[in-house]
Amino acid sequence: MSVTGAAAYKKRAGMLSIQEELLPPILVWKSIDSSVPVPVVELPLRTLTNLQATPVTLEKMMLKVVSKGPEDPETLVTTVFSFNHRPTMNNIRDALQQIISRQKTVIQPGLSPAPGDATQANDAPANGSLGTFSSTDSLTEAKLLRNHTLQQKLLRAQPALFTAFQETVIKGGLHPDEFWSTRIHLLRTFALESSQRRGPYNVLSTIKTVATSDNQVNVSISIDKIQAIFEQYPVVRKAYDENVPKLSEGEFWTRFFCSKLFRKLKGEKIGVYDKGDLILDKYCLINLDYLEKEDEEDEEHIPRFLDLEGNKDDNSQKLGNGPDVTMKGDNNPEIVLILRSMNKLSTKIVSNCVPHGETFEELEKEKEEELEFKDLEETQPMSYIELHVNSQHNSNSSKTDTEVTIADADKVDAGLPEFKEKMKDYFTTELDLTELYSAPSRKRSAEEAFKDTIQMIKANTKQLKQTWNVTSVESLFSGVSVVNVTTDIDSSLPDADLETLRLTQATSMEFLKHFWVNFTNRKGVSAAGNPAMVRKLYASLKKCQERVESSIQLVAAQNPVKPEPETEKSEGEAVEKPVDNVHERHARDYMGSISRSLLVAIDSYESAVKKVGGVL
Amino acid sequence: MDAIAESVFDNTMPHAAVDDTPSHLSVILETSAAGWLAIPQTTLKQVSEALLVALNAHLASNTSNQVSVLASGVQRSEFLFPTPEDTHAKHHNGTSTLVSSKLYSLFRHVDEEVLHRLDAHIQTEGNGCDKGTLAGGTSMALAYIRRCQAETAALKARILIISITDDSAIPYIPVMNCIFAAQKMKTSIDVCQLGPASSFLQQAADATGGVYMDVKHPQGLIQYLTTAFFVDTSLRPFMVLPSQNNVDFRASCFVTGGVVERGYVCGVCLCILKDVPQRNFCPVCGSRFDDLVISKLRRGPVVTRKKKRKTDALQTPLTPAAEQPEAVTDD
Repeated sequence: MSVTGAAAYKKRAGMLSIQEELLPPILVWKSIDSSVPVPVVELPLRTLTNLQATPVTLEKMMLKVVSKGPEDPETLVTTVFSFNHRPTMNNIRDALQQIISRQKTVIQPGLSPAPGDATQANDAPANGSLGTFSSTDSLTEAKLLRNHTLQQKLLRAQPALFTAFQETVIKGGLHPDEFWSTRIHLLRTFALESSQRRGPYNVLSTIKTVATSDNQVNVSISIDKIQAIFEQYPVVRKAYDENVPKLSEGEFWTRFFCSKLFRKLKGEKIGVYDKGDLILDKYCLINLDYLEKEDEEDEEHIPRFLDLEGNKDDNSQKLGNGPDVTMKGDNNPEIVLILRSMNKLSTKIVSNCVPHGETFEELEKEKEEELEFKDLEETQPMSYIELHVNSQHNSNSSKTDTEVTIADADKVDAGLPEFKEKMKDYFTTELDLTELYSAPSRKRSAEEAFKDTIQMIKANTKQLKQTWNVTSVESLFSGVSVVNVTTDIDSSLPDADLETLRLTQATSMEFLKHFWVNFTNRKGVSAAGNPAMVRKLYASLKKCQERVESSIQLVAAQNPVKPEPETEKSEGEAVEKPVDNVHERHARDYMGSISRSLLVAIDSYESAVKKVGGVL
Repeated sequence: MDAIAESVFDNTMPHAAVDDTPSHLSVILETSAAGWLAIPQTTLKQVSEALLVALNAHLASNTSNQVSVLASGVQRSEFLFPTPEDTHAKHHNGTSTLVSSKLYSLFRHVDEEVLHRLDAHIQTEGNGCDKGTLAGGTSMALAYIRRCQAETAALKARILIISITDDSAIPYIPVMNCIFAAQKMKTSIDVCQLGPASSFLQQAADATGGVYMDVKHPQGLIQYLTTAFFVDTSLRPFMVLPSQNNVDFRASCFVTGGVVERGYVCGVCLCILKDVPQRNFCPVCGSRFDDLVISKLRRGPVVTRKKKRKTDALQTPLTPAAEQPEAVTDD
């Protein structure tokens, strides 16, 4: 099948042929006249780098082949062949072009998967070390706490968690185990998640060729994809085994994706004029079924059970080829071929999915168990926990509660009966509703009420300003009400400063959590707990207090208050405290709850220490 | 709370300019004499006057608008308006008029009815000193709104509570149930607080998209009622409401009724407890707690060994749960 054509070299007539079957494949020019002592030109196809042909418009038909020098790959050798028949030249040019482009793409698959491979290779052992979660005991708290690889991976996967870790453990001096002990559930889910494996799937259909602008076709495949291809298509492995030492790895795959074999396996139609690949297309002729049979070592199993309920209608043999679409005579043979290969693939994938260890014998055993008499066995009654909600309790308690409040309010209640009598006289005379606005005292009060309302609305407007535009537009279209919109925060502070405050808050929360866990000795087995740890955490809380204060100062320092007469006027508070830094006040407001929480925790510890007569 | 309930009002697609769908306003008026006695700045009579004007205003703003009024006393809650036909106001001092006869007849009908029934309610009110019946009243209002909505599709509704009592007189769980029901019904609860601030009612307003206001000038109540509390449900997404933004979300202890900062949650019935229960079972659902867990909880705080631990019932974010501990944290 080698491409040949008449061509002149150095004005001597001869035959030019591309011999791909040879090893290494070469481009050969031989003089027709064997008597003339013209040396045979041989160019190894692998050394070809460039090709140039005279355009159609010119009468001259010449083909310039640029190749690397035989000794020194740096020097380029140019060989010019001239033709007298254009189709011949085009034919040879096309063939060479394909070869050269193949040569070029060969390099890329060889190189480009490399980084991918590296990560894959890195992942594999990592997965191996974490991936042994088949048994539940590796998910125990102790083991998870010891699995540092897992922890690192989780930190890498979750930047927010990483920041928390950095702040509390790396900078704050919290023990890593302490940090993870409250996040066991995260570790556990992550361990389970990362040990998930992808099952078999139709590999070839996932391989997409991407055409680039310079008329090249790129295919990217990874190692595991190649392995999956080998697994699913033994014929490809066979081809690979037989050819790869000869061809380079990359070239093999380039050829494969251009070959008819690829299209056949993929289940595509193969046109008569489709270009294939010389080397790989011959594998199309191999009986694929036979090859796959070789792989199957399973011996035939004879089922020991007969389904007596089945009748003759269930006997598929009697139906002949009727139900099988691929066995109908009037079908397009090409479609049948595709259907068959798809069916074969599906069967294969499904058979691979049989849960591990479920052998034929086990299936038989299952059936045997099904036949056992079970109806005489004792059934276990479903047991529910009955929940008796003692609602009486609530009202009882409330009664005592109100009794207390009434006892407190005894003095006030002295006038109660009298007041009740007065109330009874409320609605004996006609009410004058106009008085609501006409009476001077109520009119004044209404004005005050108006001011009150307006002030609140103004305060709210200020807070909502930032979220307002977004929410109102959103609610217009989606119907989401303001209720669900968490009014994020005041707009007066820049995002970076808010982030600082948030980080300080989160860090303090972290320490608080650990403090309470240890202080109240929730986890500890011994009654004594771990006083040293609590003491350390107490010190950390103290530090947190400082941090909160300094972060507020930082925000205040970075946002010097600008004289804004209009806002100063509109806000009553600002007028009362002229030196007040609005930003600092806001920052203080945001950090208010965390400072309070820190105070409560610190107070609790200090009072506890004082009670036992200790020194802080 | 938002996670449990459906998002409030997600169907209230506001119409462009004119919205003709009728609106229902349900007012719950607390009538506890002790409560009113504690507020010398205003009287029930004055508040009723303001309320009547507000009701009239609501009725005037759309011909198909509806109102309902409930009185919530110390013994019972009852409807002041509307009332069943046969128990019409006539039975009570039939002839006397409590509002000007010059008033527009629809308003007069409503106002007379409300005042007569309110009077009757006060006259018959006993000496019960239970918790207020506010939660019951709210339930009645919700049930009535539900019925009205079944008759008139697309009826918008809101509840206005004129409250004079603080948290101590409000049963936490029934109020929470009302809040959830109101969320489901997409009904907002407005709270006009004349008495001391109530965090439960704040939560009710916040969770249902209503307005909560501590009225500072009770004499000018009409101004609040016709401005702050007058915003229609469908307009609320577009308005800045005069509601308070810093809502106190703390829950109350199921046993002592006190507001809980850090407490314990029963893993079975989710009741909230301020202290570790005395006996090893849940006071609400009776589930037995693990002795070991309870003893751990009773251990008290850890202090440096030299100075000995001490046993102090310090509230902590822990749980005496028999099954699965869940922590309540409040910050």
